[in-house]
Amino acid sequence: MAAKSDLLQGTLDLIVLRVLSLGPRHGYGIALRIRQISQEVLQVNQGSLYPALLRLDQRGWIKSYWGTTDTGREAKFFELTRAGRKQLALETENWERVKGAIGRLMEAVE
Amino acid sequence: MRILWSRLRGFLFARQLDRELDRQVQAHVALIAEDLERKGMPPEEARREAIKDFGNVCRVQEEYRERRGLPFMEVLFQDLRFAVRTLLRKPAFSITTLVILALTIGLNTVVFGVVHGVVLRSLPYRDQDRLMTLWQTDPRKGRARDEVAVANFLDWKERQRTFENLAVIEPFSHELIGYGEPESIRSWIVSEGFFEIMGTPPLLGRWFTSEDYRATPQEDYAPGGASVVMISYGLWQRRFGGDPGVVGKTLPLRGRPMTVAGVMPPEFQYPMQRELWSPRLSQKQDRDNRASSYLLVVGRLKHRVNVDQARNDMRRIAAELEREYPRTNQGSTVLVVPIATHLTGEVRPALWILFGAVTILLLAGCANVGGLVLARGVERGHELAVRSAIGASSKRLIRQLMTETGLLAMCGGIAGIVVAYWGILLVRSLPPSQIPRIESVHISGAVLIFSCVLSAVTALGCGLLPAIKMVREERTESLKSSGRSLPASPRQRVRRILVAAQIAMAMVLLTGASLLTRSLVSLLMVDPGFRPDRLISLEAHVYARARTPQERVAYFRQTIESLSNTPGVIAAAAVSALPFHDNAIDIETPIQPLGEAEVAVHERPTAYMTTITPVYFKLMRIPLQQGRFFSDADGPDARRVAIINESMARRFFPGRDPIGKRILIGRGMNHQREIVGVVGDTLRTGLDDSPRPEFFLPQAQSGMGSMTFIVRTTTEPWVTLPAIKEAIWSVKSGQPFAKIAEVEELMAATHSERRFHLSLIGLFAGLALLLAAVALFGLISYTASQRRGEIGLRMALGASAKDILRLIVGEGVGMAAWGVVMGLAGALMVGRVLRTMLFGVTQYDSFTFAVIPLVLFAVAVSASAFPAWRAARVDASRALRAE
Repeated sequence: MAAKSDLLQGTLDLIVLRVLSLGPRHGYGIALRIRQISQEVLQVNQGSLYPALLRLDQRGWIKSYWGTTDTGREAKFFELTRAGRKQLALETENWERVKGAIGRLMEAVE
Repeated sequence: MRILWSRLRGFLFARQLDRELDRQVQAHVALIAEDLERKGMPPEEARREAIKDFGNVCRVQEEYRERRGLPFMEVLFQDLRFAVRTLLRKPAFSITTLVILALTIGLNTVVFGVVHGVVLRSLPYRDQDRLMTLWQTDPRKGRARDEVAVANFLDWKERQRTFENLAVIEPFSHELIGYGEPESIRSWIVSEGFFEIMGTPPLLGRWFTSEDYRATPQEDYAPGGASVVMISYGLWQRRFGGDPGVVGKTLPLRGRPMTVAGVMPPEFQYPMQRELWSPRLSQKQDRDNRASSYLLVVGRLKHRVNVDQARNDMRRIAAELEREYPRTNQGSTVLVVPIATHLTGEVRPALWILFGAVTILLLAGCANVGGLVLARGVERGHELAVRSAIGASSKRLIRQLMTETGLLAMCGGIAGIVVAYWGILLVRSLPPSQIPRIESVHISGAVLIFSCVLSAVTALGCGLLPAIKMVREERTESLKSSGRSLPASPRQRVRRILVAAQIAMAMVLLTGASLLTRSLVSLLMVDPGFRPDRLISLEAHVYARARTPQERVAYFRQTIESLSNTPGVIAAAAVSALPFHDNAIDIETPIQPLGEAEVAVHERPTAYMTTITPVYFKLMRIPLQQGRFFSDADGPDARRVAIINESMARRFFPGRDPIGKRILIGRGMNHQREIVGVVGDTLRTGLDDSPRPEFFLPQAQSGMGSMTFIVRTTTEPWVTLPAIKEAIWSVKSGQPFAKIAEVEELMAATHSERRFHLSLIGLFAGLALLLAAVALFGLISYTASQRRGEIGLRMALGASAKDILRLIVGEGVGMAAWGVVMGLAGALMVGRVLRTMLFGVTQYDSFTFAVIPLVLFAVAVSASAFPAWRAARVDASRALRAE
């Protein structure tokens, strides 16, 4: 069932999984966290975030529930499932390999 | 799997999920705004900023939905809604297509139902391959499959080595008297082992045991003297309301109590449908009866014995018997026929041919619906162009067109099942002798599946090709806007031939239908020689209740008197052989007029002998032509008299006065009668029959006990029937009636087969005509649209709309002419094939051959009128610009 997805999408999935590995978060929280961690380099388009969340949910990697924020607002929270953790480990390893490969390629070209 | 489930949920609860997404987006925006507020932005501005930050909500929703639901199903529903709208907008197209599909699918379903029920479905007998029917055969007498004489059967049974067992079946009748309404039940008496050989377990109760066969026959004369019976499912339902307590019950049959051993299932009906079985006890005289062959024999082969071995075995026995009893068995052998072959062997090829015929019709139907879809595609070219321009892929367009034809085929299939339901009712109304097992034909699961598959294949067959062609053409058309299309490509020529062939087929079938219709009309105008209206007949056999001739004479005098005094009865009589009655006992006997040259007995001309009570002729309105009718004075002790009919007068007394002449009747020389009257001829077996020499005897002088009461009533006969029965029972209670029927019904039954053939060929002819019309319409529409440029040019050069009409309609009429010429040969043949069924018309009936081509031309004109009218409306400048 491992669907092929383009790099960008796959990357967004990985980032979302990584963010959620730190604990449950709502949609805005995820977007905010990505921006913070990447020091404003990565801007997440809300238009891709929600479909991505649905995709991850359909694959059983995350699950969602309605809860309240610290400020008492109602929001939908997402958290990693066991399968999601496994997937994150797998994708991280994969990412490291690709990163290393691309890095070597860049150096070689120089 | 999970994704599929989630998507399915998304598809089913789309609205609810939309709301949830909305809520989520709301929450997200609110959180952004909250953050901004915390940084000191005023609430209003923060909210606006937050919405801006979130971006295009619509796009999120769109993308979300696409991922969430089942786009395939959503598109399908969208297409279906659209298809329904398009089809409703074009009712003429939709209805024509539906009618074609419903009729072709329906007809196919009916024929498949018959093939399935009669040929494919296995018989309800255990190991039917080992179940054999055995027949005597005597090539010299021209009888291929003759019934068996009982003495021969007994010898076969003792001497054979290849069968587990053989059993004999004899037609019989059991009178049920003293249990509700008296009734004579048609039955079989069967020898020991019959049920074991057939191997069909009873629905309730048990088979007969050898105990049942040891019961001592009582004074009862017949071999049916056992004391148990097995009843059929039909009788069980009809007389006992399906009460399971019937097993073990005793019934007053044949004048004494008989125990019901069990109930057989409805499908058990070999040799044919009868309602009761009882053991056939062997009698002393069985051994000597080698001449009268009227028994049916079945046998079950031993394991590992094949049919050929059994045939050799039986041939050996037949040869032995020929030597031992040359007087009766000379030239006679035994035929061993597997039961399936016996039951369905003869109709099998005919059924497959019929199946082939309807399949061809279905293919023609598909092709024509396809042609129609294509013709419509020409109209829809613009719509398709727009759709493809705004980005619909050709796959998407084909899919949409397919949804339309698919919907049509589905509706057509459903309507077809309804048609099939009626068709099967019609087929089942056939007399059972025509097709074996026909009464068990019904729309079963297999038949339903067949018609569903058929509809699906039809949808593909008549939808896919035109859809692809339309879309592809639309594509190329837009590219080669200046390309000139040729009037008739080779493919078009093939289509023309096919259309002409369909017109020819319609011509042949219409000719057949016309000949049969005209035959039926002239048949119905034939005068049977009597007035059949408001006559009801009750067949009664009174021997068991009136044993001497004197008793029978008295009985009929009293019952006729009692009937005549019944309110609602105009007149009543009794006759031994009622015209058109299928149970009529015809007695053909040699006649020797006295005082003329004597002819040897076996060379004498014969006449039919009928016994009547005096009022018979007046009641039937049979005219007296000479002499007098019978009266009550013609009693047992009076002078022996007879009345003859016109044919007999002509045959035996040509040019002479028969009144007062005496005739010798029968093979003995002692039976003498004086002719006292001559009456008009009546037809006997059917309206297409010719009258035959017949003479009548008064019942008081013959003592006949197998008679049919015949009563003319003032109103509908069925209203008076209970009173009629009561009047008969008032003389002697418990008289059962073997058959009760109105005379008009009996007459209608004699031409029911003719009606069936007519409705069959009529249905095919009507369908063929419709198909031909549609085929022509499709072709003409298509070619007319291909010739738009040419037509525009003609109009620009001064042709009027009328000229264009004439041009296009002329093309249609030309096709019809080809079809008629092609069909003529077949139409002349069909008359020859149907020759035996024609009545009052010749096979070259001028009316038919004048009218049918006219009908075809008229249909051709109307089928091409619409495309012609559309072509004539073409705007010359626009058509030319398109070139």
